[in-house]
Amino acid sequence: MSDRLRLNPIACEAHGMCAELLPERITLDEWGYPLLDDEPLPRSLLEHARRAAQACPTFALRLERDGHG
Amino acid sequence: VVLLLSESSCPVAETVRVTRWLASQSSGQCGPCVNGLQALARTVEEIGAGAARADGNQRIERLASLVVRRGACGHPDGAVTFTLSALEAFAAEFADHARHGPCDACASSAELPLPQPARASTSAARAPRTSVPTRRRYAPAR
Repeated sequence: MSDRLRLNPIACEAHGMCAELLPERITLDEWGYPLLDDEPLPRSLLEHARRAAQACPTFALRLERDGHG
Repeated sequence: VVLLLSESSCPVAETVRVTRWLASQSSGQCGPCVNGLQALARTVEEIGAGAARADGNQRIERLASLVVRRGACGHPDGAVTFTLSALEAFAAEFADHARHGPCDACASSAELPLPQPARASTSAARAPRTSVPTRRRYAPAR
């Protein structure tokens, strides 16, 4: 079981909250849109990732769990 | 689709036209496509005009990596593939333009057919975000 961050590029409006809350995995490009690390999230970052997803003003960022991996 | 360019055309000018057109055709939904393709078109244009900084090709590579697979559809990926392939196929011509500016064929070269003329390279770009937008672009789901 692994958790990954998923971004809806249409909904994202480059607010940049996610990169503030999860700089370990999210950086911003030169226009302020997030660059996600596609690796599964370690347990230690889960809470931060959840908070980053919740803070997204456009609900563009989601935390997804897949069964295998 | 394969189109042969004639001797009297300039492959750099053709690439500039098509890249700018591809940027203008972004549906404006995803930030990396809107901003990235405009920046890509601008950089290709600068190289063609001999006005690019020395690292023009590196800039192209970087923009390409910022655009590919970051849109909801395949348009940005296709546009990047076209541009990178043109830069590779016409590397000598691009290097020549970067050093000496436009060639004699540049001004008249318009061989690759485009459905409609490309708009100026900045018209489709969204204004840079400096603050939290007050207007939503889409209706929230109920």
